[in-house]
Amino acid sequence: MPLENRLKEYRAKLNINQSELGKRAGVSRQTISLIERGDYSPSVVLALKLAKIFESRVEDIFTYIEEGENEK
Amino acid sequence: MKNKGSYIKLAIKTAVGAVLGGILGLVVLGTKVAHMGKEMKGLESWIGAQAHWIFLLLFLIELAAVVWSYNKVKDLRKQHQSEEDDEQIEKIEYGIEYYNTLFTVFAMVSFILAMIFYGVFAGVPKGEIPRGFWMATIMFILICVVYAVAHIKMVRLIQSIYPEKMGDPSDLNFDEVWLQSCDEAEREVIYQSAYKTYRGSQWVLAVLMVVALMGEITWQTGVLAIVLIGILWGTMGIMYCYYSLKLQKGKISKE
Repeated sequence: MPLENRLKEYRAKLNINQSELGKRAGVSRQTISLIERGDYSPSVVLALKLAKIFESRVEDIFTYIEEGENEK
Repeated sequence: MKNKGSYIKLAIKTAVGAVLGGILGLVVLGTKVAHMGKEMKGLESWIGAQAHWIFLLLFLIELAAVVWSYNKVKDLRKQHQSEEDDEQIEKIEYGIEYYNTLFTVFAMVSFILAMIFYGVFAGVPKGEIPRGFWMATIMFILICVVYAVAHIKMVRLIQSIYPEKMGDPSDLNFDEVWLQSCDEAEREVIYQSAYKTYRGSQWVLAVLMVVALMGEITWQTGVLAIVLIGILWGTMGIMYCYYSLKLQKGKISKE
């Protein structure tokens, strides 16, 4: 996936588990787990919701990695 | 050259298929396989005579299997309610998914086998009621009832674990309502699974069509199987094309 994230780090700052974050973001715990593992890229809406929960910018939580950068 | 390569590949695959089909045909005609029709009739008669015991066994296996897998999910629900650690919850939820899948497979296979056996059993000569008819019929109905009731109970159990999941399993639009209650990642899984199932089904139906044709040619099994498979294959393909076009035009409301 070309998207890296610091979701787990931000979640730890709020001291909440995946289930709690899922409830706040309106998604399931499994979805939060998939995003943290990098197995799923959230939609723009979900990324914005997560950024709002953490009172951060989307770019602070999610980083887009170019294809070439991945291979490096 | 790129386009020509596709035609060459197609020609090679067709030639290989023709050779294999020819060899298979020679094997079928040249061996006892072609005369299996009589043995199959014998098997049908045996199934008809033992149907009540077959259905009783199938009913008991179905009941035991669905109750066992249902209880496994129920036990995992208790753990799920009290667990706080993300890793442990992940394992528990995987277990729930696993036993739910087993439950679905047990119930579905039992139901389909019941349909098949009853189809064989129901082909009795007119004017005769075979031995064990009523017991076989009652068992068949019970298998269908267990299938329906078990499905409802499992959905209710899953909804108690995941309260955001909506829908009444006895409603005709249950699948739609359930899908609407899924989040984006869950829908992605459903869509990918559905597409893989569609693609896989195309292969399965093609193989079944060949088998049905061979059956008719070799054992005179009748054209009904060929017609039904054709209808199913055509319906799936046309429906897929129709909904793809509709989605492209954006006429299906976005959730």
